[in-house]
Amino acid sequence: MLLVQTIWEGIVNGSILAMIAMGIALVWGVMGILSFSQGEFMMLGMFITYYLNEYLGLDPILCVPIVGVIMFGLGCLIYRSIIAKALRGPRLSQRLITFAIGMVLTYGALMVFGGQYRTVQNLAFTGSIDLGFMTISKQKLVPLVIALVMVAFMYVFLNLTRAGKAIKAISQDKDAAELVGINSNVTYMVAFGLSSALAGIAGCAITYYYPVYYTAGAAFLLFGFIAVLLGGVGSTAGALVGGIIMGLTDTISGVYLNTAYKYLAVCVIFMLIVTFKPKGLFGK
Amino acid sequence: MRLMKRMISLLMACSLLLCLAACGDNANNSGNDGGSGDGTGDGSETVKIGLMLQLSGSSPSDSEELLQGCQMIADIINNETDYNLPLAQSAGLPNLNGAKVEVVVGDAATNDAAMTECERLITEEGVVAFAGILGSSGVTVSATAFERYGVPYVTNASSPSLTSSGYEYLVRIFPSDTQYCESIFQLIADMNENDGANIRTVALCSEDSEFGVNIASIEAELAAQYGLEVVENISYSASATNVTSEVLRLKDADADVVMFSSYTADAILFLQTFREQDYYPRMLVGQRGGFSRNEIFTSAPEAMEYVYNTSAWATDISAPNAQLLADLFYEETGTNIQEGVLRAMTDFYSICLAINQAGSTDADAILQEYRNGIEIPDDQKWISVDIQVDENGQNLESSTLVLQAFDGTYSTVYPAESASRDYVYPVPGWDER
Repeated sequence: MLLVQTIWEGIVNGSILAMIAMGIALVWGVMGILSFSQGEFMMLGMFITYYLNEYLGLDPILCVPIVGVIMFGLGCLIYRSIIAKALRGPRLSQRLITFAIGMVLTYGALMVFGGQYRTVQNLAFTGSIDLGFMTISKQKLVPLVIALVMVAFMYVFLNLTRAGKAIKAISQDKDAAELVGINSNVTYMVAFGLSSALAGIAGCAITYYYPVYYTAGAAFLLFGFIAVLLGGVGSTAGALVGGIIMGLTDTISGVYLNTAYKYLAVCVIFMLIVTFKPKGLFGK
Repeated sequence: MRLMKRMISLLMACSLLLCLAACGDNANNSGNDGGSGDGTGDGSETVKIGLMLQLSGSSPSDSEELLQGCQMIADIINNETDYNLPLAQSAGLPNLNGAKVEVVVGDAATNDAAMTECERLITEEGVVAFAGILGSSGVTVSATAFERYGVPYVTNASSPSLTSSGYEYLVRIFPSDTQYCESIFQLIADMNENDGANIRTVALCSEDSEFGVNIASIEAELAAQYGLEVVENISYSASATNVTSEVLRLKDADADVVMFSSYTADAILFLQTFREQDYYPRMLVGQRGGFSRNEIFTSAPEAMEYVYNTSAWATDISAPNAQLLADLFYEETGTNIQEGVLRAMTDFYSICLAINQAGSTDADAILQEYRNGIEIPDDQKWISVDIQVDENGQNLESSTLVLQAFDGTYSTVYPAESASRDYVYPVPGWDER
């Protein structure tokens, strides 16, 4: 019974990492930029959710579209005002600019919101469902459902919409895409905005069980990166699979080996996958 | 047009930098309003006391609260007030011709920065002693500076190694981790002996930095000494994004007592995960850290009910001014005083008392007063113990309390002579809350 519970928890935790990983994979796949600020976008999503809940009484589920729109707009703004310019500079600037943005957002949040820990109250779904052989937490079920909806949304968006197809085209061959009339600058902006929105929605979802504070995003970022690399850089489906592999490794090794070594287990799995599939499971 | 755009961007960037600099400057200098430091001997002289904080580090809210608390104490000392607190009814330090006390802030965002910040306050600001909120590792790093320059450092860190490392200028008024841990094991022994609690097994769950590792090792030793079986000993990262595997192991072990040493975010995460897994230990002990923070009561109010915690201070102790200080702090900050902040404020207050008692800012004279004993009249006390340190700097009179959370606040439940309520064991499960 413990094994079933452990696997379930691994999938739930992995799906949350997958949401962050999808954003990282999108930006890397399209623009070749490592989005080090993804954790901070997630943290901003958490704060927006917290204040929507505090002042308007909105449940995080209802906050998802609001946070998504705000973070998409913020991502586009950051792209237009900072990233687009950095893309014209040396490669190192392109790589590190998101790191600098992340630092500004972290300390900006400390200045604006303070260093207190907060939690979202009066959640619509609390408690657990006892199935006898396992317990399903409603508070974790919500982030799982939101993650799955976002994966489905990203699949539909990238494969069935004009903007999504443009993103895919740019990621495959930028010059050819521009030749057929795709505006790479606008496409980059949409991709960065989407990635910020995904991180913000991930933040919104995890307020269901995780405290809100100014460095909350940093802890998730590293795992998001590993999930991307496990699944294959540039692949959103790979990011989902990578996230779930990470979640399962973390939980299973924590329960059956030793909690002190669960991150070691994650890194060993990562090294094994990179050894046998250097581009990750879905990398091309 | 292009040039104009660039100029606007440059101006915006400069404005942002100026704002950041202003905020940083404000944080660094917010304690420096007291005076220039030019002594004239007529009451305008200032005594500078360093306050080591982590305003931009891992505990900004505690640091902010402590800064406000120490400034409040400095104001009480520097002005004539009606409060029946030490040095409150005269302006300044009477034995130093009414010299004013000034708080000088050192912001050690990381442990690495602690030494340079400590050194800066000594050499550039001229502080004569330190208090602060740095953890044991931060104090160890700072020791290089305060030992070299011979400046007393009154710490609120609780690692036993601090007072056994031979530091000449280190003072600790409150207990070490060993004393805190021992108090909870004494309570368990009393519960077994007097109330037939039949507590036989313990699970330890500690974050993996020096704080948690030290406490886990002390708890494991004490468990063996008190005849309790450690059925699970979990070490985890305080920055964990999920603690499901840890909670599944605790649930599987089903120990009579689960003892935590956690910071705030991880403590909240554990309590949330207990709820998710429909599990609650029969006795949950938090060894200060995150379990002493105000936020944990607002973040997980239901889960915090009946949680045990160790402490050196509580508002319900017999000291006549404990509640007064808590009330003054609330008026000043709008928040309830936390035990860790109170301890550091007491460290600061004790430095002022030691300097006044010595009639000097000489480091050796200050230390000698700590060894002789700091005189606080009984009717002016806000802590229940006296202050007199041994040759290692540890207060010989320090003692600990065991608290239990009832209705969103802690009450003292042990030792019996200090208890304001009876303890509850076993604590109610989720379905009874």
